[in-house]
Amino acid sequence: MDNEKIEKSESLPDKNLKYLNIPEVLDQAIMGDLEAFGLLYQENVQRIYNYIYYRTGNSNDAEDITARVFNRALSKIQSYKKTEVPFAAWLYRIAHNLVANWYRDNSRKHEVPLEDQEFMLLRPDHPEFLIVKDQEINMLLEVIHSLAPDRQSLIILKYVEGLSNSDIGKILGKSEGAVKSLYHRTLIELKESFENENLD
Amino acid sequence: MERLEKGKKPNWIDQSIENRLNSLLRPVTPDPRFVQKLKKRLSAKAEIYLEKDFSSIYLMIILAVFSIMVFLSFLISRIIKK
Repeated sequence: MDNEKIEKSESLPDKNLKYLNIPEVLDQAIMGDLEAFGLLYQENVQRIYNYIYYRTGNSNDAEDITARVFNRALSKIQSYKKTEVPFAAWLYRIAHNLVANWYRDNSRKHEVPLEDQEFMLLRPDHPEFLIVKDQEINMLLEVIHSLAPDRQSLIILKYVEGLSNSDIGKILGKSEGAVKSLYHRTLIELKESFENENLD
Repeated sequence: MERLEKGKKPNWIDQSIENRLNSLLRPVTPDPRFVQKLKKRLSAKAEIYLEKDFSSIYLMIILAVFSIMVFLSFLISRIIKK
């Protein structure tokens, strides 16, 4: 998984993560080295936040769930097995489960009203969205939030995080072929939703 | 909203949607204060665990010393009695 996005972040530490030996850092973190865990946190916090932000639709819940993801990761890191999935995929899985719990606990939030989405996009803490105040992005997010959870995750991981089908498969627990097929079905559903919106 | 292009390729609609997703979905940056605060909280949490571990080690040492002293005083009292 590429680290390009996180390297552009303002919140990065002085150390350049690009030059870190990640497997070594991971070994140290598994053995309880807090500094190593801190480096892994810095490397992954933005991508995990992004995923949760797009799934929940607001920055307060995104911050709350991101904090829970890393708390859980810290308490469970000794049971993490490097050979099964990459560390970032493991974090995404935790995030995916916690977002699912969040949806279950707040089932009414499945339906995000358009006004709330406009609010989400125009929040001052995300100035990059200030310039895209138009109907199209609101409609797109409304349509994405109406998809099934796995389909939402797929679209966010592919287009916001820029992950490959293979990486997405590791996160969602599916084969690359299954992700490809799910992606195709998701595009068809999006197409139908857009057509319905156009008719309306 | 722009109109979907018709008839160019067999999968024209999928491509149009993919372009739209590409152009509209972008990463957001979390609040740097949140990122730093969470980092501090994560290390503080771990420090508490460390303190707990140290206190249990100290307690075990004190108990071991106390047991040895009781045992030695018992032995000495037995020797004196003899």
